[in-house]
Amino acid sequence: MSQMSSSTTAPVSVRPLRVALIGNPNTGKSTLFNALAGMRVRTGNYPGVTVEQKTGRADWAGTPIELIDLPGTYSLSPRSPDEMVTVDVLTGCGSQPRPDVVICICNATALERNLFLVTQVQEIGLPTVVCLNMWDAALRAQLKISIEALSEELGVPVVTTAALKRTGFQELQDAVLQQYQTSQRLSASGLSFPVVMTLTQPVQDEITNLTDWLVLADCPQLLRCPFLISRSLLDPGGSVEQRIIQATSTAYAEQLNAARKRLADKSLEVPAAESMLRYRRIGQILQRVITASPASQRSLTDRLDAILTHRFLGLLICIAVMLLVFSTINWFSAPLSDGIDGSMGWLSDQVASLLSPGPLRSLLTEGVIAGVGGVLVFLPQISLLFLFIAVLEDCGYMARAAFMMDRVMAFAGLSGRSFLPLMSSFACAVPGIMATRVIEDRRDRFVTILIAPLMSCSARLPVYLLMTGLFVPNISYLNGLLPLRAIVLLCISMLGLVVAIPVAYVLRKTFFKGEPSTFLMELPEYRLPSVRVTAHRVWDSGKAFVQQAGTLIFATSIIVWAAGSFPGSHERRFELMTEIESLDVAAETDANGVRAAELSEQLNAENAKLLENSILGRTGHLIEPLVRPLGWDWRLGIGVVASFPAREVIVATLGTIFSLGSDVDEENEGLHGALAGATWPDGRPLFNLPVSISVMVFFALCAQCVSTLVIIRRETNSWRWPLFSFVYMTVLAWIGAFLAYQIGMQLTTLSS
Amino acid sequence: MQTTRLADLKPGESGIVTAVAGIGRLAARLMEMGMVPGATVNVLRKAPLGDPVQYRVRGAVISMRSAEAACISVCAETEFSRQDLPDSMRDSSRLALVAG
Ligand SMILES: Nc1nc2c(ncn2[C@@H]2O[C@H](COP(=O)(O)OP(=O)(O)O)[C@@H](O)[C@H]2O)c(=O)[nH]1
Ligand SMILES: [Mg+2]
Repeated sequence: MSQMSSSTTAPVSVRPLRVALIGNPNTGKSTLFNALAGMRVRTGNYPGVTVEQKTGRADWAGTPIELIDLPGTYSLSPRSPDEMVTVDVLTGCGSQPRPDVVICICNATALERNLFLVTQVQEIGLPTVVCLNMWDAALRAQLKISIEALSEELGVPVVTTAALKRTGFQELQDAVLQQYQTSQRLSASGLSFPVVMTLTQPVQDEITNLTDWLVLADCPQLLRCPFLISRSLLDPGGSVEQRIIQATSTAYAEQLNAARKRLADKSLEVPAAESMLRYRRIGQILQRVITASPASQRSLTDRLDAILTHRFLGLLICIAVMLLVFSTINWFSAPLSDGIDGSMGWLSDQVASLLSPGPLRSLLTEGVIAGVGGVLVFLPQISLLFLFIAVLEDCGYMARAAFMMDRVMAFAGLSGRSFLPLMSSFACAVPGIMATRVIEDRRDRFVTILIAPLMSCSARLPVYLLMTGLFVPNISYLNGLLPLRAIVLLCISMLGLVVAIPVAYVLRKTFFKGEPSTFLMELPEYRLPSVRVTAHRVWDSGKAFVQQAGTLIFATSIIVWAAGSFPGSHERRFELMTEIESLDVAAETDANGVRAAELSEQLNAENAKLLENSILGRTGHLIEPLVRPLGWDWRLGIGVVASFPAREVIVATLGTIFSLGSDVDEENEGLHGALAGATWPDGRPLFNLPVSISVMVFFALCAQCVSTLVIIRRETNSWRWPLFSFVYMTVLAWIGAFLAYQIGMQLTTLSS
Repeated sequence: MQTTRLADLKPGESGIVTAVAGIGRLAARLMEMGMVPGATVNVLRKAPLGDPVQYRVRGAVISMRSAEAACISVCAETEFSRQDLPDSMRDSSRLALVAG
């Protein structure tokens, strides 16, 4: 037990103590949070922004604790709604009460820069505990830091931790509880927790002036957060300034300008003055606190960087790493996904053997199980990709990849941080979009999210293989080294990427206008990745996908199933199925076998008829005029509509429409024959090279993937963006397919 | 005092920040990360395609594009004197530690 045993006056509060964690990026904040909260973590979104809200529960010496993980940040100078969240949480100006205690996490090996945020937090007047994390690394580097001196200088308790090794937690918890009790004692005697001002007198005087002005302007809610008033002065064009001007009047802007002018006359230009004053104060503090800082020799990180970001070697290694990642994902996720597919098939069979053919069985096997399977097949890919992302990020390589690729991404108006999310989208857009969280700039992040689904994901491959296999002549060039089909496959796979560049450019100039993207990024030191941190990331992403996307993907699958089944009388179909199943087929050639084949054919015809008359089929007919210019008939139209849940569904749908039963894949002989033999009512063949290319182009650019749309909804926190993606991609896909067909037909007529 | 743009320094060179131009987001972020007048900056290396560039400032490695580094003015370490800092900052920068 700690000194804080229940015999001391442990606060017997009904609500848990709210403890917020704040710190620079890469200080070990997540590691500490996860270690303190264990598995009792809830994630959500702050209303109206894309910032993840993470809270965890803990119990410290009998006191229930609610831990709040704030986004990593270098400062409290909000310049976007996302950054404003942190300030709102700390000042209690948002939707929640302000925290009872705030823990400021610092990287002990980079104190100078980390104390910047600490001095800002101290100006809010919250009970604060400074936590010097990575203490193990500081010891290893033989840094001598005097904790007592630092605590004295800052006026708050300072504790040391090593979050990875889970040491120092007890002291941290004790310090937090102690700070809370101090603040309780203060408030009992009518005092509030002292604000520690780093800013000098002239700045403080201006803050007082502004406060006086606001008293007259009668804005009580602002006066409760004096910190906001100082932020409005110090961040020209920042979110706080805008908010206060909105709440009062533009006269406040004049007040601010006058105040800044007076400060400039004292050579305290805003915003430079704030950083200079803080770093000056930090300099004074550290002069006392750091008693030994061994002459920095060339560090391991520096030597590694010389190789890993080398002009030639660096690029080669980067390409090799990406190849390794994606081929490993292919190797391992395909069998896993097949396994899941297989178990779903097995489950279907089990249900089928228990229930006789009927609406319930149809709902369970064709709707529910197929729907769940549609969600789960993504899980191996997502988990594996996140495993790699977590490892690459944790060891520090990711930042280097972004550094090397920044120049390339700048072509599309993006930054290097978009590189990995877009690369990942070549495997699957879902984890790619989830990986955009590393992009700090909101506009960059949204543009990346919106173009990620254009990257050629693995679900498009079945369509490509089917179409090239059927209609692209099997010839090769260069003595068989270069098959035409492979060239077509490569071109069609690159199409999305090529289209994405102008799309990103246009988005950056229209919906996401503003300052050009920047690439100001800290490159963390290389470290051995931690198993625990990595495992946590993989678990989190898998859970998020299954929980949030799962339900919606599932629902959509059911809806499409219903649209393909109703209206229509399925009695004949169920009869046929019952009869087929009742036949005891020993060999395909015996009487029963022949009968079964006959019945199957009837069943397929019945299925096709039902589909044609269902809502889905009618939609297909309805949109035929729309797809005619693409060289398609209504059957291909249905295929597109039905593949809304996932692109690869079109292969099965085409199978059903062309009366083959639903168990087909892209290598199915029957499907090949049926497609090649399909005709228009007037007898012209339905498919030719231009038509098949138009189908491929459409699928390369369209947004037929509910999982992607749902993840966009989750990551952008609004239905607006998935809707936007769907519309723009469908329009692009239509135009692309139209051009492919029309140009193809012109060329065909010319050459014949 | 002769100043140049940080973007014009070559890998291996270093300088002392004398000013950061602008009042927007970029300038603010640069200064928060320690690029304030008086801080020593080392140019480490360029990315394979020539841009962005890695810098060391206050013990951390920061990468930025040349366009961003262009708004930072630096002077040679030998030319820098505290007299060049604004009055209110004069006693500031602990150069010894900053350089470490
Ligand atoms: N040596 C050391 N490394 C740590 C410690 N805490 C975290 N790390 C590592 O620091 C990196 C960043 O940690 P993370 O929790 O993701 O930082 P965040 O960005 O602040 O959330 C990870 O590679 C961790 O394994 C620590 O106490 N000592
Ligand atoms: Mg984190």
